[in-house]
Amino acid sequence: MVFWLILLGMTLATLAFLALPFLARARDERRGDDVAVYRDQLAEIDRDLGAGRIVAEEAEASRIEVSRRLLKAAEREKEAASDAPGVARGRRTAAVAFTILALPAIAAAFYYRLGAPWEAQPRPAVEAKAPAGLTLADMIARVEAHVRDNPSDGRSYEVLAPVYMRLGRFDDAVGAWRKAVELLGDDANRQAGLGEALVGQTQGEVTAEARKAFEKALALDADSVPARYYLALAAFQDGRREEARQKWTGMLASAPSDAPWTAPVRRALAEMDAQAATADPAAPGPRASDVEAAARMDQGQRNDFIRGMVDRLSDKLKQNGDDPEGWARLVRAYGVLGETGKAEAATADARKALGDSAVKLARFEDALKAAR
Amino acid sequence: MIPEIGHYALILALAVSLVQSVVPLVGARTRDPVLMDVGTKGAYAQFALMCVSFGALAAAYGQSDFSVAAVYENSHSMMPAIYKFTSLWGNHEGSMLLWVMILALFGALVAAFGANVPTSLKATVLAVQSWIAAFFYLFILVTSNPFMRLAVVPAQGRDLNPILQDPGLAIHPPLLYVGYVGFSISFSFAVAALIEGRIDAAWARWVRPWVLLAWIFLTLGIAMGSYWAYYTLGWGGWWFWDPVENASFMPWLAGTALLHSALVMEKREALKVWTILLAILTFSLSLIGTFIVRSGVLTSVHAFASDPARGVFILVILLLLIGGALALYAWRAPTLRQGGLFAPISREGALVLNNLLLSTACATVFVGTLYPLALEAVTGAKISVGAPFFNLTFAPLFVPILIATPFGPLLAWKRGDLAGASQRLMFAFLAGALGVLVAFALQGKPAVALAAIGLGFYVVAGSVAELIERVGLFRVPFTTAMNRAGGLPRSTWGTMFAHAGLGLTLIGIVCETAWGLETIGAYKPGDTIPIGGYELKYEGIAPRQGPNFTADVASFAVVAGGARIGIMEPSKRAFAARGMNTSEAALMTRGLGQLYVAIGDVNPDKTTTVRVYWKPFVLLIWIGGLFMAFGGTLSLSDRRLRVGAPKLARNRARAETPA
Repeated sequence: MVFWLILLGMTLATLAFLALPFLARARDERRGDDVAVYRDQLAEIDRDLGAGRIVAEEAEASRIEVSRRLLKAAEREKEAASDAPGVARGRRTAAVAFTILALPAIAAAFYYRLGAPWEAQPRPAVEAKAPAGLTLADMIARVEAHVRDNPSDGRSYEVLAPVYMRLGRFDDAVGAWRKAVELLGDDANRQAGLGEALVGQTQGEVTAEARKAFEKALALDADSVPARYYLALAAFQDGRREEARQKWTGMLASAPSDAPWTAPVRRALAEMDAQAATADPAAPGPRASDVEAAARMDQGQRNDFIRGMVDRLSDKLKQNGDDPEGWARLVRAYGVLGETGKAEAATADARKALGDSAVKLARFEDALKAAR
Repeated sequence: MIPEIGHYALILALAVSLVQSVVPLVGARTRDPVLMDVGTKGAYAQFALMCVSFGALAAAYGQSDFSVAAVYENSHSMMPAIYKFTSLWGNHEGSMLLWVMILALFGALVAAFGANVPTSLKATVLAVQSWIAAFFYLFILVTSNPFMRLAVVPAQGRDLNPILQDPGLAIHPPLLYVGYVGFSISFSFAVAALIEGRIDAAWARWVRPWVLLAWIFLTLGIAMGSYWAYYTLGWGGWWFWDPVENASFMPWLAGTALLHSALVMEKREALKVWTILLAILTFSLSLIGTFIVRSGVLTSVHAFASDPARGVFILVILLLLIGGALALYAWRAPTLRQGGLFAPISREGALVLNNLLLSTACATVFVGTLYPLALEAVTGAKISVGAPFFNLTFAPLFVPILIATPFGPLLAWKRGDLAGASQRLMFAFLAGALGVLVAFALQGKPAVALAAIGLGFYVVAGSVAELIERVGLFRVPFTTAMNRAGGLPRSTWGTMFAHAGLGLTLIGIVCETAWGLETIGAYKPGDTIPIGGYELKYEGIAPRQGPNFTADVASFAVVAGGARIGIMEPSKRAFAARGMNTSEAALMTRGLGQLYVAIGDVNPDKTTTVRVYWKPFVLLIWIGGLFMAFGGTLSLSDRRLRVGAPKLARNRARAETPA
């Protein structure tokens, strides 16, 4: 209520101020005109002459020039004065009406469209009285503050990283896991966490970097579930379907009966089979079935086939260029087709499209290097 | 509640600007003083409302109110208070709000100090000014609203881009914007004059202070921005010819030309048509600069195409304002009567030459800045037009400007005496020759640098020549000369300072580029780096904790002539919130030169990459800028009127008559 009164007050005050001239008694005073300027210019000549800055002949010449301007200005002034200054009541009424109607109408319309008046009310008490008064965001902020003050406390990073993961802040999660590894040393759990965060960053693709992390995790703990799962996924994404199947079924065989993670593994297996049957156009890379099909074709057919795929990928990237690995695949594909010009153009496009983010640019360059 | 009040104030300002766009104009056409007065009141109201709006946003930043999207995106509760405030304009939304805030401020200034301007001209100017304001209020509200709220309030902000967390940023954009936006006044005056159909010497006088004011701030803003880039970007460059810099440099060149052509118009009523065109073009260049910087075309033409709302909006504003003004100009200009006549060799002629060269230089920068963008838009090829292009095209244009600079003030109006002027510049020529000799003795080569140093000395000495001439120093008794110096118009002093500043900047540039020293290498603690008579002893690197960053601070003891003269501490800062690093260079001023140290990464073998520069006389570059701005200020404070055709009094007898 107070808020609305304030808005109303602002509107009325502005209106009143704008309408002031209409209320005042009409004074037809002509302030500042060019006649005054030229009079001043004449006085200046006298001053200059007095101070010895100009000689008499020059002063005279200037005086004539300025006087001419002065005469002209004075003439114009007289003409203007004979033009009766328009004090048409009707026009003034119209102007006042326009001001008084248009101003609040425009303001109200815009505020109705753009404003968030509910934000002006004191926030509902829920938040203030939340249990222990802490939201997840507050807790994160606290740990972040703690980390800032104690930048060498590896434990805090280890606490933060999974929270970031859950919030989908994969970039932060990658950073936190890296810090944890750096400060606390290698550990299967941390490496696997880092791998998962990297996969999250690329929306599900197991990059070379992520694979390295999982391999480290597996070396430290041969039973690391995420490492085994994602390495199988990596094999699948690379088109090595049999290897992937073996790895996943292996996981299932060794699983304790109550393991909660068997479900996702089964789902992955089922998905793989389903994909082999019906090609999923949304899949990111060349699909396993496609690759197998390509293997059976002769060279010409294969090139046509690859070209079709490349065109699809290129169209996709044109619509959404935010995909470093996709770009790298495209460049690589042009390379395979021997179209170096297009490969270079694609590289340039990629850098342009990813230019906003140094991280993504680096990922693109890495992926490109890995492919060579 | 506060952000909502600020939001509403902005909306109300838009409403006022729409009323002010129409009513005073009707008043001016019908000579109704009451309607015309609405312009003045509206300008005050807009300014007051913008103060409320800007203040509200500042309060939101101050309280780290992360329910406001812009605050969340660009602030952090741990930032020092000063950066909380400056992050207000360290981003698109906030900087546009600052832009219109300054626009409203100028409107109010015209309302307050425009009392010497005829009422109807003033009303029209304020209406035109209000058109510009209305466009930009709309732009902000529709495409870049700084008051947008977040439904879920985050606990912590995302921090300001670390590179912008610097005192330089605190002052640089406001100065630059005052310059940019200040030219809107000369634009409004030009359009108003075309509407009114009356353009004469008096118009030039009325518009001149506004041009000067904008020019002073733009000069300071550019100098400040250059110094900021010099010490934050970490490799000691002070001018990059990058499009953002060019965007501010183009209006400066055009504004400088305008400043000079308005002088001719004021004194002799000549160059009217050209001056009006320059007034329109100068602000158009400011707008184009805003478009280049704000639409995102710079990052990539494609980025612009994928989110075109902002860019297209500014483009439409550009077309309407610039196109409209130029159309009006094309329609009205042919009806203007030409003013006073003059010989080619005269003060007017010199100023025309100045204008020709400055506008050509400006066109060069314009092409160099926009051509790559246009090419990318059409063919998709990304090329960069860098320093080599500008050095090749810009330098040959500026050499004649510099040669002509000292001549201008020495030539008389109407018909000048070139031989006489050269005679009076004799000592400036000598100073130039002396400069070449000194530089040759100290450095020897390269020849181009020697010539440029000579040119710099000549410009500085030549700028004093007019003064010496006018007070009759060495020809009349010293006390008389001093008395006369006191009686000279401030604008004469202003000219001297501004022109000398140009020479000083040139000397600084030449010394820095030709004789600067640079050492890059990997050093271990304990190593000594010799450079230009100094020795830097690397003492080690240690972590240090800042408010919202951690830093690795390296420490170098500086030794000169066997004595330890100080410690330099360059550092690398890591900002956790954005995961970004910045490099903080360390500077040590010795005379007018500077030692400059920046560190890179610490290598695996415990060495650190260190870059050390010795930059002789580098400070002159910015001191020259300060001189120019100071000259402008002196000229601005000269409220007296000057009239056409006074030739210097050489008659000694007459000169000695007391005033």
